[in-house]
Amino acid sequence: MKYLLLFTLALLSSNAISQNEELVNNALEAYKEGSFLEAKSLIDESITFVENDMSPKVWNFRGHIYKQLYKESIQDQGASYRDEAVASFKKSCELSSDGQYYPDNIKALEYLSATYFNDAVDSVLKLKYNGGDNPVQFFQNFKELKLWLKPQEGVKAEELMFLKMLAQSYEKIHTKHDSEDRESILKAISYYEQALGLDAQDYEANFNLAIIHYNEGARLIGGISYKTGMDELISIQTRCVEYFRHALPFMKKAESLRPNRVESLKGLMFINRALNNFDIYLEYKSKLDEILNN
Amino acid sequence: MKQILTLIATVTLSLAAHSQLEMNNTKTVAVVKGSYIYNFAKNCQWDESFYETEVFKMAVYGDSDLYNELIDKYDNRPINNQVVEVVWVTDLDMLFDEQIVFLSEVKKNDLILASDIAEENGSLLITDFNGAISLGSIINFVIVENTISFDLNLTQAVTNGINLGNRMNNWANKIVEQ
Repeated sequence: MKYLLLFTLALLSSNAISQNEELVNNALEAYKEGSFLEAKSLIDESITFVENDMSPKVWNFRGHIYKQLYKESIQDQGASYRDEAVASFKKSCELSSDGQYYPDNIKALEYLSATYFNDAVDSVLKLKYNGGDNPVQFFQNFKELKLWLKPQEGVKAEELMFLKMLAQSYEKIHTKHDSEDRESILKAISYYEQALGLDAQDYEANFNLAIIHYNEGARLIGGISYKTGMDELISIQTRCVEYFRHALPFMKKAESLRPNRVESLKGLMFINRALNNFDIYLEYKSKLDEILNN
Repeated sequence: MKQILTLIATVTLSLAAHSQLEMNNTKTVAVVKGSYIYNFAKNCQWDESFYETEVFKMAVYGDSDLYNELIDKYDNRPINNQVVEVVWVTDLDMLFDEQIVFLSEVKKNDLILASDIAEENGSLLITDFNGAISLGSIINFVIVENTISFDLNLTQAVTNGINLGNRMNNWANKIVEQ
């Protein structure tokens, strides 16, 4: 509330109250009373006056009104309030030549940036089959704001983790809804590929992408039953081999990044067995046995 | 509060991002071989005497994954008017009236004997190792461009009294007549 005192003092310092100032004053009164919607409509009207539109303090105040509305809102409504709050604080920063409102703007923007990040993570956790909020949009908002606030820091680490988490969530949705859900598995693959685009040396992205491709093939083979005819069997095998071939380089990469890990050795063993590379399968099997026996 | 929320989100993100998926543990090779064998059973014809019983017998010698797969998916399944019975063989002396006998690479030293028994019993002998087709096997699984395919020995099939049919020829990787 420190900014509120600052803002009130600034308003009191002016003697003659013009119409545009009166609107801001009334908005402040409404804000103090907790009537944020009323404050919003007054402040929105006030910025139609050039003097207010050029005032860092009015934009800072507008940011706080929208921030409060965002905090009080329920889900969907809140998103637009938050976007407006961000836009207002940013504009205040751009206009604030003396820097008086700058620290407060930055503090508010950091808070809002954290809420974008939290929403991105939360919506990934709540992703559903054909539903849920769009985590990517939340993360994009976080990314833009974080880069605006701290361009030198970047967001590579957060983005890498986010993409991997997103990929894994889609993979889980696919597993839960079984083979019909092609969209989810394609999204999972795409997000892991994007993660590898950011960092080709990431172990989990390489390992999990290999597993996804392998599991796709294994799932097709697992679907073979007594009803499967010879032509279908031959066709399934051809398709599976493509999946297993896709899996192999990613698992090899994972093994090279963290040599002799049981999981990746087991992965290489399974993939080579599925590709009918029995000599290589036996090599990995013997290596794995050696590690497990020590 | 902001820091706490961000920390929770970061930890959640980090944990999820570093977790690993699990491999599907399907025994791919056994599944494919099992399906081939069931399809061989549907597409080949044996001596009339084999159709006098209600049971279509498949024996597996030396490959427990394949045996488990056949038991799991094909045991008691119909083939024409018969039902499949899968048996695990620990000794060639156990072979008697099986339509199909599978002998795996780990038992390759027993191939000649198994071939003689199959010929005498009129069984379809199936193998999965190099050179088997020229030593009495009728169908030998081979690897072609990472997929499992099979070679056929027509002469041996005729000797054992089995009609492999034209469609089997079309599906085979290679047909041997010797």
